[in-house]
Amino acid sequence: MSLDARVVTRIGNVEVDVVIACAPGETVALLGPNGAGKSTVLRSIAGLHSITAGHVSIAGDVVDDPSRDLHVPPERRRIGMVFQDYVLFPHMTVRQNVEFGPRSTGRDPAPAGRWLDALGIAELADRRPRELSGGQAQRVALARALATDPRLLLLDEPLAALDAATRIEVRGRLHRHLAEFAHGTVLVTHDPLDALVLADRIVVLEDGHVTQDGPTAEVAAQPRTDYLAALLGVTLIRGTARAGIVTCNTGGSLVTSGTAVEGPVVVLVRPQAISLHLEHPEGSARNVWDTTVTTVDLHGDQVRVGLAGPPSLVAAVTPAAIADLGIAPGVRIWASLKATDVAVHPA
Amino acid sequence: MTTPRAQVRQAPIPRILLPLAVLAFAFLALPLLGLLLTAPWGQMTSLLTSPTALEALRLSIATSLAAAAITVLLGVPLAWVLARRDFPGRTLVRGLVLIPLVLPPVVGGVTLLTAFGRRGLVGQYLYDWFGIQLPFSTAGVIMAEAFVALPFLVITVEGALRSLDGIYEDAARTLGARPTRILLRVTAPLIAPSLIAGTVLAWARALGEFGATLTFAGNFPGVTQTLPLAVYSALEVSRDEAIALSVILLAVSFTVLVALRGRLLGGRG
Amino acid sequence: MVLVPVAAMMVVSGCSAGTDEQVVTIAAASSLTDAFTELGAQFEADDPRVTLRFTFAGSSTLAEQVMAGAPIDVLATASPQTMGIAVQAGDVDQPVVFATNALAIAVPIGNPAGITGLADLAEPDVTVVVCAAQVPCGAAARAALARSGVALTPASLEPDVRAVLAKVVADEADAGLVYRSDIVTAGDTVEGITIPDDENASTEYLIATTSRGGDAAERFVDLVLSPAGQAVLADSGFGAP
Repeated sequence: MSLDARVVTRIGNVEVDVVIACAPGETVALLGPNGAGKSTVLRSIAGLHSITAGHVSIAGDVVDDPSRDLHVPPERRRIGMVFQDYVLFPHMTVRQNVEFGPRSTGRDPAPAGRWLDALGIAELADRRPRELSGGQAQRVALARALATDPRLLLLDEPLAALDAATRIEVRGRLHRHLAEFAHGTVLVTHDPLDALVLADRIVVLEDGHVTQDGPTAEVAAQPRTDYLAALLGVTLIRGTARAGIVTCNTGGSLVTSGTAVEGPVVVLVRPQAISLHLEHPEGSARNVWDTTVTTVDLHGDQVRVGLAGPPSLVAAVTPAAIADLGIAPGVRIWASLKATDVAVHPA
Repeated sequence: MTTPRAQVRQAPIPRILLPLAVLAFAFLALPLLGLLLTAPWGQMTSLLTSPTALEALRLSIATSLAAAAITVLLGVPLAWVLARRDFPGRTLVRGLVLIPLVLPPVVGGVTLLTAFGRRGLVGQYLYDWFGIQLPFSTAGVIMAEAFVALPFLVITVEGALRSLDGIYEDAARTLGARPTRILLRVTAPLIAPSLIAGTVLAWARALGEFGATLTFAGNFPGVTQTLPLAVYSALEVSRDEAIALSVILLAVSFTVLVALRGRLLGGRG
Repeated sequence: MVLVPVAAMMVVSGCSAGTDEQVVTIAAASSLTDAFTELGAQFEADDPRVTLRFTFAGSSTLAEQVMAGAPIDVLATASPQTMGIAVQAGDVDQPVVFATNALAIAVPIGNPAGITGLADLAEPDVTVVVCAAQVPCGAAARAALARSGVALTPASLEPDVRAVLAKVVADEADAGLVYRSDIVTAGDTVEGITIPDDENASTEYLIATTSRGGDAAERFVDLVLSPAGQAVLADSGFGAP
């Protein structure tokens, strides 16, 4: 395991008690509202914040164990961390920033050059941080963290400092880099899109405690708390897009109006966009299929209806509709979804 | 890409500020103007090349530079501890550091005597065991100057360290850097502008110090008579000489301060 | 609006001594501190309407202040030369000699350096403080040392005789050249070594009212010159004029 930890600590008047683990090659998103303690957990894993109980184990080595008075300082934990505002050293060039890690540990700084190329920022090597755009700074911060050859990557709100347009593009690229990273990545975010696009597993943190923990698709489809359901409001599906049709990885296909996007994509569908019918519906919707109801859950004043796939989707309807249509698990039903409601994002 | 000055539209100044700003400038500039106008320019060369003047100048520059160096050596570690470590009594220590700022310099000199004079707390052992007498010595001058100048450096550097917030140090730690390397490669360069500004302030204060030097170190040409003391002594003998010496003091300070231009405020001139 | 504080300052300074007969400011050489303070108390006791304010410093400093227009009503210096500065500038009226003083060596209690006379002051390990040359006691010190043929390198040149005394009392110096009167008024805080008359130098004290001094100022000068005043001066160790 790249990470195996139980973080018990306190920040302000929030008691934090979180169990979190991450396998090599896996990306785990720590998702929660502001003030939930996410950054504290990350800083505790990094060793920048002390835990009062529990343990932190990175790549099999115990680096923090209060019961044994063991605390390995951050500089010896072989982690790579990207901070929320990137915290690039303003008095150093991009190259010097990226080479800082290897030089600090007495290693050859040459490999750092590889990371500059890999992240497409080689031509910025002699610039100063203040001359960089948000997206460029984010890549430099990532290169700097990866140049130390860490056994665990920690990202604290890596996209929060970017504007909406940049964020979409950077998110896709970040996903590719993380996929190539051999070790585990823990990413902290309050933005569900980050979690959905970047993570293999999501750990939901509310008020210092974990309220849900599981594979991304599962957590996204079956939020177990009101916060998460309200936050997500979308279903996520991975697939490949060509000429307006997305072939889903898990099977089945969806018609989308986003014809410009080709290749690997992430499809987001709002449950509210799916209409349920007793009969084959007429109308303009391009996605029409018959399926079976798998689950029916009440969330606030909406009911989330799980539909068997592939692809498996979730529809949101009113309680009155449930009664009218006689919807219950096992019932056969027709579903329709407009192509314009199938949002496609490059992955 | 920088915008040419002419094209940048400057924000309007609230009406009340401008006359007050002018008044402030006049308040500072008029005495200087008076000094320059009453200076005996004709005799300046002979007055300034007199042994007294040259000796006082040499002593002032040597002692103020030494005092500035001491304030850096002692002040930076103190500023570090105050900024980065929380310990019981920290507020008290911070208050103590400010004391030389509020103490009348002559009183400061007296307190230095009580500690380092021949019968002082520490001074008595220096004298009885090693025959070292700090009052009446050039070392005493440096001590008096460092005493009054130290708060300037500590306050400036502590402020800079506080504003750094430790975030850069955190980043450096996660990259594998040990504390010494962080201090040399990350913290020091980041506080360099403030450190320079603080050192210049401390040096300027040391150069102009009078009361503590007179009371603690005494007044003797070549040993302890710095420029300010020479001006004071000259005042009763020859006003012209006093003014001429004041002009040197002014010239030396002005040259250094202008050379450092906007750096004092951490800006770029 | 800016004029208000400026005007206030002018009014305040205008209301101080000079125009008001009830406050008299006396500038006197520092060696006169104790004697004049006592005389001042006597004067105020006799005439409660008047308040006396004293400022004690080196004579040359005080003369310069009078010349610069300081609000001083009476000037008493420790030498004719320093009074001469004020006379030349036309700021004082007809100075009169009212006392004399000779030098003595002050040493800390216990005489740690074992001083017996002027000659001992030139020893290399002895820390000696004297007044700066432009101050009367400094001029007298130079004269005395020249007279007895002692070549002395002092550790410090102090701005007035009380500063010299203070350094000796605090045991920061092994010896200091002060006036005989200073030894008397210092009491048991210091020990005095007499300087024989043939090696010594003396100085004359002069007193005068300034051009702004009024009736009360004249009366203070009269008190100093009166038998009562002379008795106080004699008790403090001063010599007769």
